[in-house]
Amino acid sequence: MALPNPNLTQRSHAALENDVLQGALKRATDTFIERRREAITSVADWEALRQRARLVKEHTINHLDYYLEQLVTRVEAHGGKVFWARTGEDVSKYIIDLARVRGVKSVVKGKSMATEEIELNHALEAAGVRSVETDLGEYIIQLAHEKPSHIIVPAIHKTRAQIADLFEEKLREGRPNEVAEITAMARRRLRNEFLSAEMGITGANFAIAETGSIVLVENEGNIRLSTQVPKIHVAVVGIEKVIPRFDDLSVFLRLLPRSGTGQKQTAYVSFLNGARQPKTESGFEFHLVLMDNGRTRILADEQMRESLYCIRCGACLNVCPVYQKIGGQAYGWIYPGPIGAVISPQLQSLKQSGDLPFASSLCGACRDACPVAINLPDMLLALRAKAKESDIGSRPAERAAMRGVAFVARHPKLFALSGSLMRVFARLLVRDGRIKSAPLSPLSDWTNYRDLPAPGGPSFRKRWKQKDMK
Amino acid sequence: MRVALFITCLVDQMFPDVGEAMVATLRRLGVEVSFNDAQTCCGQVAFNTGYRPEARSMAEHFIRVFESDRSEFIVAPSGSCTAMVRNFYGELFHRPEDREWRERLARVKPKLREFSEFIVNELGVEDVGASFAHRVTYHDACHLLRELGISDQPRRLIRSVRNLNLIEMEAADTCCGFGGTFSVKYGEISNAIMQEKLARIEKSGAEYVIANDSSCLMQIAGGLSRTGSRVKTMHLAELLAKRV
Amino acid sequence: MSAITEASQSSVLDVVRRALGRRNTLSPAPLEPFVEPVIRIEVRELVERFIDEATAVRAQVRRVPDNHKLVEKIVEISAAQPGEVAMSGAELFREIDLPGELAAHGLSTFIANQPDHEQLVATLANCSVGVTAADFAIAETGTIVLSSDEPNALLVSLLPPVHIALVRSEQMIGTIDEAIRKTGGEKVGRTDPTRSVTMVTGPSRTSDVELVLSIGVHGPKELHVIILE
Repeated sequence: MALPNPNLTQRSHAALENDVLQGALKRATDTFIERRREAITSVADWEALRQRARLVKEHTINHLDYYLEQLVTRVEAHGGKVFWARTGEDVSKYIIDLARVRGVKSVVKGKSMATEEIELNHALEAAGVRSVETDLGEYIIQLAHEKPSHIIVPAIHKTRAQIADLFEEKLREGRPNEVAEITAMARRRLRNEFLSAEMGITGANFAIAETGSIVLVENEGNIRLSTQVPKIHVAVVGIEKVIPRFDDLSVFLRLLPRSGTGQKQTAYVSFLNGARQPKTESGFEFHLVLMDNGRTRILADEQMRESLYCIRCGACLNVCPVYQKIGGQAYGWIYPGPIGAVISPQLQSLKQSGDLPFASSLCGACRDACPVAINLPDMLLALRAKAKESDIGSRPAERAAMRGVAFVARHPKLFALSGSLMRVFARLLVRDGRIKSAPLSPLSDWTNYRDLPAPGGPSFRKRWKQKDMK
Repeated sequence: MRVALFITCLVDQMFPDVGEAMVATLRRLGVEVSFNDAQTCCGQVAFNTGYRPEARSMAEHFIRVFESDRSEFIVAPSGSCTAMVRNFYGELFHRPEDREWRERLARVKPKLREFSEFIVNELGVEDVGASFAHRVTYHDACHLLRELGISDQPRRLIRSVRNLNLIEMEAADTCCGFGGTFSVKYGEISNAIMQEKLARIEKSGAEYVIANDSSCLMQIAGGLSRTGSRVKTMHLAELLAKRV
Repeated sequence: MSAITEASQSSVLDVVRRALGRRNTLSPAPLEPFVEPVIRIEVRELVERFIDEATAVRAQVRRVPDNHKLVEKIVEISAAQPGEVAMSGAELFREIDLPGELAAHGLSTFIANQPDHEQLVATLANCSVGVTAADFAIAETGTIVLSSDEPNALLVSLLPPVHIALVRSEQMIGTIDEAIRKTGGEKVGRTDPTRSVTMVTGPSRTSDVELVLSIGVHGPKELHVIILE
């Protein structure tokens, strides 16, 4: 059997050997699972909400042209500017140009997976614009120069001691010993940033076509500050974030906080409509950057289209037995867990992350947890098939073996014979009634971690015939 | 009542005792059992690994074997193999030109039942007359639970076994870490997941862990054996065949 | 601004249409509305429910029977803080002469109706307390809803570390979906389309460090809701 991508295996290995990480992951995922379970009890019919949310997303995605057009028309009518970005470079270029023209020296950023996707901070820094992450978790990983390990709590892989060390080293204001002190230190430092930045950049959880509104959900208040204090607000929004009508929002506002953090409602939900236009002052601008960056590729594939329904809640991560063990950074990009394994190979390429769909036991817990009822296991299976069909993912020796198996399976007598041979070979390896080690892969890959029972002989089909079980 | 056995390649070749136990139990319940030895493998491994054309050829063979069977039901001692046919074969014949295969599949699919599903839902039986004076715990195999929605029937059957004490382990519905070729391709992760399951099994205090899927049992048994545990595994069919 | 032509601007939309298998945008039949399977909250229970929910998320809620007691409460909370008390440009504050009342207790006040945004922000950032009214409140989640209709309420409720929100019991509504219909319905029908709305549920918080709850990150550390009955 061909080797899996060594990088994912290596990264997983490092994660599994990291005791601190293992502790953090267990604590985090156990807690999230419990909070979500608790939060669902406050909804009369969770399943009905899920199905409705899926229906809304399905309808919207299938009519994305119509709803994007409507969104743009309304945003522009309210004095907002809309920019269509085909790629990440388009997004960065637009924002850098805007910053240059408006004399923006520093930017405060709300948490946005879309901007992480395109490494916007990196581009801004290269262009001489300071960009500070203001969500506490994002601030922490920005200081540490790391990638997020969870969609909702990006720094969950770090202990408070590690964060205290980090703050002490980077902020040079002493060592914050308690969680409350860490928070207070971040509040103090970032407050200055909010008050001096000329531009705030955020994503959006939803963009409402009917009203030209964007909706932002948060707990810290950093998004409110990023959108209310600097005069220029830029929202970078994936094209799949649009929903048709304002009324459609309430289902998602029930599902998202409960699925993401186990809350009935987050501390703040902001509805922004176009540019703030106080009567006495000008200079306020709202820019909506609608980003493709590979989403149209997913859209074009009817089988994969439901990958776009995702509302980035992170619930699938918490219940995934693989994520629970390897954490987010092992996935190699910014989207971890089941949804990461589904969209990374599509937004990036099969070559870059086509191994991710294979690192799953297909248990299906993700599908049960998903508030939009995305059939994640089916998506993973589809990607596996695509990987095997593509030049990049194909493994000639493995394919030959599969063809061999399929051939044998079409010839019952051959099947019975190969079974007998397998049992003969296995008997050579049996010690004390089980196989503890084997010389060759894939058998050795099994016995590295567990025993194999000695195959019972004779086979059932032989017994049926011989014992006259008819 | 006549059923055709869909024995599954794993039971046929690796765990034939499970097959015998299943036949014994069904016959005790007055069911006529037949076995067509032209059957081989449903193709699940090929499908899950992404080799759809190869999986399809195995699916075609499966359909050929079972479409002419006159039994009322086709019964399998495996949730994952039952799910393969019931939930995934359709994807192998989804193109417009596959219409004929879809029709042939449609003659086979409705007859298919997983073992516990068959006894409880079709025979209406929960007490098969088994007896087993031990503490047991039950593991919900993922495909059985989430693809087929079966979790109640096995428990009813287990609880009806005389002198048996069923102890629910924590998080019985979480994955054992097998996942087909995942278990060898990503063995270290598979093992880490398995260790969690083993810990929960040990914590339950059970002497036996029961499941409906030999693949899960192979993983769990292999892990228990490696750790030198005294807990043993048993397929539901073997449990139901136990008598005083 | 860099030279971005109309053509390249709409190219994403073209790609979207092509991905959906068409040349021209198709108008869909709208989705059927959805009746949420929610348990309605009785009117008489609204205030009680609001108090339970808001308290559960660490807001401090008080009920007052009249304007006099209302002012008393505001003074009480504000006196515990060192700096200036900011208030939005809500009519209510003029009606009850809140600045005057606060001054009578030796508290310095700032009415947030400055035209200069940067000056406004700088001043608010140095205030200890921000007092606002509210558009309405949601009992289901203990949420108060503010909008840009109330002059500068969004900033007054955000920058100072203590936020006091005043809401009348008649402003209580039951559920999130009712709130959405109210917010959206008003929004669509209104002539001023640039209205911003913020729903506030408890003080600012995070669990980013080890999933340990920490209150008071960037937004207010304390949220006081005073219900005027």
